[in-house]
Amino acid sequence: MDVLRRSVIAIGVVVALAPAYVSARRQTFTSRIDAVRVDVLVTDNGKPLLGLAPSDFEVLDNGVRQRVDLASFEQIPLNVVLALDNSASLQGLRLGHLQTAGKRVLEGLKPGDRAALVAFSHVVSPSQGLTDDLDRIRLALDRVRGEGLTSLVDATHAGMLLGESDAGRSLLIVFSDGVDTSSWLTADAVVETARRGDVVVYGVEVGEHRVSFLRDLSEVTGGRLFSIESTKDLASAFAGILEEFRMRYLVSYSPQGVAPGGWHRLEVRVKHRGATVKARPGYFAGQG
Amino acid sequence: MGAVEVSTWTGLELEAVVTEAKQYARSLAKTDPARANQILLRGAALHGDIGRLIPEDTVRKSPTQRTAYIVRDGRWLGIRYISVHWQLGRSLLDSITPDPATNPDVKTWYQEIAAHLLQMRQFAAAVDHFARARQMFPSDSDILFSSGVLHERFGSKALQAAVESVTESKRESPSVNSARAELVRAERFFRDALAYRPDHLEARVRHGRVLDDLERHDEASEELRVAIAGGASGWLLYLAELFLGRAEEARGDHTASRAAFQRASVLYPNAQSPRLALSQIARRTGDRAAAQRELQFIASLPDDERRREDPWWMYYDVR
Repeated sequence: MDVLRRSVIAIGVVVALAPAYVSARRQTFTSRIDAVRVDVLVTDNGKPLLGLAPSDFEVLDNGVRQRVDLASFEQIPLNVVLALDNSASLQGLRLGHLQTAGKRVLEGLKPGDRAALVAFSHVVSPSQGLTDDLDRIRLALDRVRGEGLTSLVDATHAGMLLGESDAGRSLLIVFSDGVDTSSWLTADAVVETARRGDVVVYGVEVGEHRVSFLRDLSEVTGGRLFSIESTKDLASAFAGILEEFRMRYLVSYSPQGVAPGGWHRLEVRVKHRGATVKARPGYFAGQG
Repeated sequence: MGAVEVSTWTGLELEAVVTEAKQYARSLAKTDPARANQILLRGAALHGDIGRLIPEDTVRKSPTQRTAYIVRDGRWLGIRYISVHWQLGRSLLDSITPDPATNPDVKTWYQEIAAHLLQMRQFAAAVDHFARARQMFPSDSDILFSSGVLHERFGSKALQAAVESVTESKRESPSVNSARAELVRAERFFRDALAYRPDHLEARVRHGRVLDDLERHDEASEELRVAIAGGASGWLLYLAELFLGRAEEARGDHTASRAAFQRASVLYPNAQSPRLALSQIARRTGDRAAAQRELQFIASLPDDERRREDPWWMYYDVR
């Protein structure tokens, strides 16, 4: 890999010029940022707002207004990574709820979508890449046992790497019922990595514990954090996340009038009164 | 009188017997100080044995008995009461003549109990025990080292999370300070331990790690390199390399950091921590392919945890 390509691939949010392209492999880039793509959720009174065209979006990259080339959803295949806590606190019924929730997500996938699993206690066990062989993931889910400590941060890092694919849009669902107690990586470092990628993270936490790491991660990737009372609610939470993610727009533009490197602050708005927009707050271009 | 029988007594009954024993020993010491000391040492040994057998009580035996919080994986699970026997043992030894701090058997008792409390993760009991041990033996490198380990543990994510969990539950605040304050204390104990015993390699490795956590990365790097050059081996060398990798990363030297993590991964080929670290550096520096290679290596590791030994997981446990 030459230096030029490496520097462009380091950009968090990258090229998507047309729907047909998205399912193909990413092209080799030249010396500039060809295009930036941003996953955007638009809601009105809590419900996804559909049918918006590129002209309905307004994107500011470091404060500079950009011309939106594309705003699409539905037709782009998904890469869904499940990072699921199976530490000692997840045993018996609670583990069963988690396995059912994972399978509910798999049931919701469509042809062309792919999935991966990162089961974790203190041991992080990622599956071998994204696959459309969903039975493999189901089997891996069945093998999960509730034991050990919690390496939430390490597992999230692994999940983000698994989700980074040349094709499709990537969703990482991270579930934990507690706090990190055994990761090697630091939360700050993994949040920083998240800024450099285009994986959207949805966190799910259960019970009274609030995990600031999941909140931060959801925020920087434009995802959301769900706090549920009981693991009984996991399946509906997971299904809701997948449904919501499918309703997100992929907005792309070719940056104009901004410096190529460093942190780019993003503001995404829609020309629709009362609409709420959720997107990552920026992206990082280049190394460092 | 057996340990099990004594263990059923109430705190007041126990204190009365200990007071009586101390009075008897004091009287005997006038004519036969060696015999008096022997009685006190045997009493301390008995209480030490009971403490080992029954480290906590589920009901409070004495008004002065302190609370211990039972935690697992950063989560508060329940309350117990620290065994009164540790304190009773210390109380008996305080009556040793002419000075308990000069008696080698007393020192051995303190060291053995200290090691046991750390091994059994009896951290609440360890606080008072170590405090008294340091008063009596301020230049004992083992006691200083154990104190460093205890406070390093208090500064860990797991213990801090547990403290938060207890506080959130609206119960009294455990006597654990902020992570930084605990690490500052740990650093001082490791430094002191090394002053008395510079060849204590584990103290040096832990000192390096604590310095790094306190954002004193240059000193951390230097300390860890001294430990490596000084002959750290096996799991200790692995940890030293792992910590060195982190310190170098914080110093901005990706090359040195990567090299240290790679050396760690050679020492424990199935350990996930250095692989995760290498993938994180690769991702951060834009080498996505290298990051994926490390991840795929982790994915290829056996499911069986016993075949994936990573000494980092056991770092806070005393070996």
